[in-house]
Amino acid sequence: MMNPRQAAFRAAYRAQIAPAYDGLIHVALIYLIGGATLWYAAQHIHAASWTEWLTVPATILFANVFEWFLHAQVMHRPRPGFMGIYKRHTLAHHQFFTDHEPFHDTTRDFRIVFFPPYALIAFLVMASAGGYALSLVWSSNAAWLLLATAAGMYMNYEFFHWCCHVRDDRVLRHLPFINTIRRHHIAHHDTSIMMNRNMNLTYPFADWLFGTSDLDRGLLGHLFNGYDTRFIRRGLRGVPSTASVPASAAGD
Amino acid sequence: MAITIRDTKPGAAPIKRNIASLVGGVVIAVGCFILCLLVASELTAVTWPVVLGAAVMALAVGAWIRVADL
Repeated sequence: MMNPRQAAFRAAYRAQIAPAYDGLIHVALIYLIGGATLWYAAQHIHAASWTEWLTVPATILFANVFEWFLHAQVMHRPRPGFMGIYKRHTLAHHQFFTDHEPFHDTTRDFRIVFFPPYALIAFLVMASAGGYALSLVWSSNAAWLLLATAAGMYMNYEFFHWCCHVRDDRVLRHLPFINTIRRHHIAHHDTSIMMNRNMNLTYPFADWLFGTSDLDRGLLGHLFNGYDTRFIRRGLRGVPSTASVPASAAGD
Repeated sequence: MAITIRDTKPGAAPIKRNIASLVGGVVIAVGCFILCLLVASELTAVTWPVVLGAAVMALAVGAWIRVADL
């Protein structure tokens, strides 16, 4: 249930969205740019060896830790030079979406769900620099695999995050990984734990690795936890119990 | 907050957009232009009409980022 403060914030935020903004164009831009990059990179991969293919899981793991680091240390910390990101995330996204009311209502709310498209450009530039370095020291196939995987992981991130803030979960609640990150992220929106728990947005690998998850179980349990609330750590103030997780995210 | 306060009262000052949407608009326009040319180079010869088309598309996307204050 939405409290008056959250309702007031949502009304104020929505009133400030520019009339020219369109959520579907926003999302289309992200996926056109990401998809085109992935396709272009894939065109340059020729007869890759199995060692070169290992670049894919290595990039996925690196992206997972990077996503965790960026969320924990930039989006939730007021760092000089990155205050815009902190304000947009901690001060806006977390007021718009709480663990009690974490769902968006219209496509105009996509403005506060998805990153601006230029964030994707910044990530692709970083991945391209890494790929270029990799091509110098090892293999151009590995470099293109790195870039393709990075673009794919970014789109994965945006899709999973959107799945966390969709109200209707009749299908999502049954999908492995998505149901896991949905509970994981909605719990993160509890203001009492949002600064240091549940920082992953795709797969809770880094949260398990660095002990920042609200769950007390192993890696496979983390990845396939779904909506299960039996393994939530005790003593985490405000962690949603089965009763307080929004009905649509609490399982049957 | 991340976005600009708007005053829609009659006679209000012109809308002021966030500087991030200006920088972001330029960044996205440059990025889209380069990406369009790279993709086009895989599909066809990069001729002046192709370059012009990529430039128009990139400018449209950059301009939209700015007016949408994204």
